[in-house]
Amino acid sequence: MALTNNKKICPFKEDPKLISKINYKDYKFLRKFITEQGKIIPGFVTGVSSKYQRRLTNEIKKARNIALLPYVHDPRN
Amino acid sequence: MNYYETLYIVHPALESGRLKDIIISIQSMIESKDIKVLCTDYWGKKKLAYLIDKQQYGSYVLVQLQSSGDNINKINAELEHNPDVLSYLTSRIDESNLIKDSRSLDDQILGSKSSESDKNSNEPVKVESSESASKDEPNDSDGKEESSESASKEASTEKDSETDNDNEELTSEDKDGSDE
Repeated sequence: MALTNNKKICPFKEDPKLISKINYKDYKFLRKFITEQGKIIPGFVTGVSSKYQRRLTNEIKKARNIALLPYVHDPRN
Repeated sequence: MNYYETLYIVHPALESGRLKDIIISIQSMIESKDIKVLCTDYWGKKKLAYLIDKQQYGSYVLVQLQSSGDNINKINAELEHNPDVLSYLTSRIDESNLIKDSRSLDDQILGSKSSESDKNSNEPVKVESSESASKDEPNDSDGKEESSESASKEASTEKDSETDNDNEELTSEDKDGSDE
């Protein structure tokens, strides 16, 4: 996963097998694209191309709706 | 005819026998609306990311359907008024995403009961991460250093950059707050 600043390559263009993992049911994979607080990490940080970033945000929001991912980090949990 | 899937959360207080009744009653409710149920997948009892109706846990059930678009809203209305369903999500899927091998409901419910120890072994991983995050908050700078150290120990440069970014965000937000 190209999360470093100097080398930004879209992970989904590098490995097309990952595209099928962009799904709200695969919430453990989506965790890579949110911060500890629960915010969605912008594409220019992770290197994800805008095509897949749009799909990622939609799936993350679905996963939040059904309580698989947090809206905000809850320190009580 | 389109393919849809509905993921709903059943109240955690229901035991296996009662849970099966609920799942079957929802399934028959769906079929009564002229919707074809293709398969039912019981995910087991999971910890919710946030409280729903003051419940920390919930049993996730996934149902895949074949129907016209008009009928789907009827299911949502029924699930909305079902007191045993904490939350639900219906979405349209492609034919390629259908689950082909479907075990019987009994197997899934009993199987998940017997393999609860496995699931418990998975759950603490999440709990640990959230605990470490919660530890971070009370002792500000120390916690962050620990987290960045532990991330580097795990030999993942990705996490380092993530934590760095988080810190930057936090500091920028703090500045904003102080300015206001």
